[in-house]
Amino acid sequence: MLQIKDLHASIEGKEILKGIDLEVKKGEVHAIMGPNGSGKSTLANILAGREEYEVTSGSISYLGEDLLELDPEERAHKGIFLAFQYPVEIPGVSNVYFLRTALNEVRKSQGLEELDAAQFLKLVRKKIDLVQLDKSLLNRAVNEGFSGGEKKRNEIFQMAVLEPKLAILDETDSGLDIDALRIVANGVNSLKSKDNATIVVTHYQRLLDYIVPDVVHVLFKGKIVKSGGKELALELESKGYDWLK
Amino acid sequence: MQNEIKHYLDQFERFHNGSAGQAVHALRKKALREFEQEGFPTTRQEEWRFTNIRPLAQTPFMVSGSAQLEQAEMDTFLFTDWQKPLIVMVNGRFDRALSRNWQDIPGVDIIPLKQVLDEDKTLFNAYLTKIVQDHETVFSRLNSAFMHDGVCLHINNMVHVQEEIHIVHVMKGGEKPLAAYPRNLIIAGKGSEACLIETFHSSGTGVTFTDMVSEVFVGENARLKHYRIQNESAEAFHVSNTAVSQKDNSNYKSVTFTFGGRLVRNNISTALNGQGIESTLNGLYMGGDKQLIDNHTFIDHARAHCDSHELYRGILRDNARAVFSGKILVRPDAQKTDAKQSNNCLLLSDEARVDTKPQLEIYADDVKCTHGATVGQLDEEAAFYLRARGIPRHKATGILTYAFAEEIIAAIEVAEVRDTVHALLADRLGHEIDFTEV
Ligand SMILES: Nc1ncnc2c1ncn2[C@@H]1O[C@H](COP(=O)(O)OP(=O)(O)OP(=O)(O)O)[C@@H](O)[C@H]1O
Ligand SMILES: [Mg+2]
Repeated sequence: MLQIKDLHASIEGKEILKGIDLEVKKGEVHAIMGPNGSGKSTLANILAGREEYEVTSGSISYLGEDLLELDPEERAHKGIFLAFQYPVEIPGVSNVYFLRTALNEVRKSQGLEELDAAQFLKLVRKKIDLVQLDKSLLNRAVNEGFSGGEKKRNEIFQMAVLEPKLAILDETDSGLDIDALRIVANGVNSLKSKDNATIVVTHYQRLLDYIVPDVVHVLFKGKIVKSGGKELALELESKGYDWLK
Repeated sequence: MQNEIKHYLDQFERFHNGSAGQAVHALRKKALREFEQEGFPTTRQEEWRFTNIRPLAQTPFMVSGSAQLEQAEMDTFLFTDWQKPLIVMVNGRFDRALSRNWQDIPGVDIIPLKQVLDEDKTLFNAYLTKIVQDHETVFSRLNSAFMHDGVCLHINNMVHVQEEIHIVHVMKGGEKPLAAYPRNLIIAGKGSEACLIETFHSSGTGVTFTDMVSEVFVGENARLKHYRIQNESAEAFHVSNTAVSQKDNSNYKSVTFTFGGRLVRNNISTALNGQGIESTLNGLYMGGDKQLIDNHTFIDHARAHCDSHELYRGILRDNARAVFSGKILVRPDAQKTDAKQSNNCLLLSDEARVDTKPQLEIYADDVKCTHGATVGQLDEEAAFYLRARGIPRHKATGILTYAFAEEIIAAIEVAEVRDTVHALLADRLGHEIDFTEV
């Protein structure tokens, strides 16, 4: 589904990713761990199409297409979804309007009928329970004044509505209490299928108790220095990153 | 500048030929003399530092005669299914044939200004020039010199006007540059309530100049809402001079929307001549191409316990320019004043530019005055967030631009005004967003 080959990327002349190789197949869950500043969010943002990062060499192919050629919106249309580490507040735009517009753009690109307000609300009612997001948040401005946990749940709620093929969760577990963590993980698991894949960026092994990864990668100073099974996460938890240097 | 002034002196002779007998003629002549002495301002004058009016001053505008408008074209300027009072002004003249439902509003007298001037009506003579005289500019003088017709609206004491009153101003261009000098006199009696909507449109092509004066008197405990939507063509020059006088416990709210026009200058001055007054001046403008949109406000806190609120938001594209100058004067007697001013501008292109100038003059010690000004580009973080969810770039820009304007739009109490502003924004942003659902 996703093939990253020898990816180098920099921002403002500073090289952040220094040769990443990663392959994700349909149905798989990959976890990416690594110390602060190692480049996890950079990788996630490049996959979503953020333009500030300059890809200096390497390639990314997604469902057989050159991903780097696509605009962020085109990537979303083709099923890529990034749950932001820091979801953006957008005053003046209601959450429902935003999400309906987004869903209809995705549907349009796939040749599907747009949903009207009533149809959309029906869908929303179903999905909102999945992440137990307070309904009153729907009519508020996107993420404005949301608590940290509410923002993260809102990301997963959007994911539930948009039903992506490749979801990239950038520290969605940070700032969640244990109940919220379970709810979010359940949300992710119930959306899992043999046709889609998930990349989970996290610092904590505990999330991986709920979202069980097929592969765990350690990203260190812009490189994947180790990959392994889910035991690797436990090992990192007890030993830290020093032994990998 | 000599020739430019002489042009107006000649126009004056020609236009007012034969009306020297009227009482108003003395007022006109006085105004003309003052105009002649003062001349057109240059950018060396502080009040005009950012607004070069040479293109206006150098165009030899002829005072427009009466112009005809087809009903079909007229209909395009109206709100859908509008059955409420409607007054139509064409090239500065009250058009009785196109106006409707304005003569039988209980407790309200609406009279064409021409009739007031011709018949020397005492009520209006008591007010004419009395409010604007403390806030004269060269353009208000020019209007006084050429005043001829307009709308006199008198709301009697304690009358609550249920229906909003819509005044449509149409400026029909011709082969030569045409000018009109409409004049409003609006008197809201004690304890009255009303809502006035003015919209400005162009018909056909041709360079036009509207130089307008509105004198507004808001009596004790009266509440007046005043919406204006400027949507003239890219060939239109427009200067509006609004002078407001408020009495004890009155409430005046003005919302000025500027979308059209090549050069638009809106001067609004409110004098808070009493206690317990509330005054709100809001504005939203959106400029593109080479438009210049200039909003000058002045709030004069003369007495104690008054609140004023100002919120102006602007959106500029292409090479558009804007000016915002907000002066707040708090006189020594105006203790417990609460004055809030904020103006924000969103620049959607690198070539667009805004000059802002807050001016606070405070001579009382127990007051609360705040002001804030921001100029910024589109929030790229937010744009990326929207795009990452599948919303195309141009639509993301539209949504964020709309969000920027939302605070002002959300405060519009009249559905027709809100819909019109939505439509104009969607049109200017050039795509299919239906803002009514946002
Ligand atoms: N816009 C930017 N300008 C300059 N440096 C940047 C920018 N964005 C990221 N960086 C730098 O790139 C490096 C990698 O950042 P990144 O956010 O990818 O780390 P991370 O692995 O996600 O860390 P964390 O675990 O703290 O979220 C950091 O040193 C960071 O300071
Ligand atoms: Mg990160």
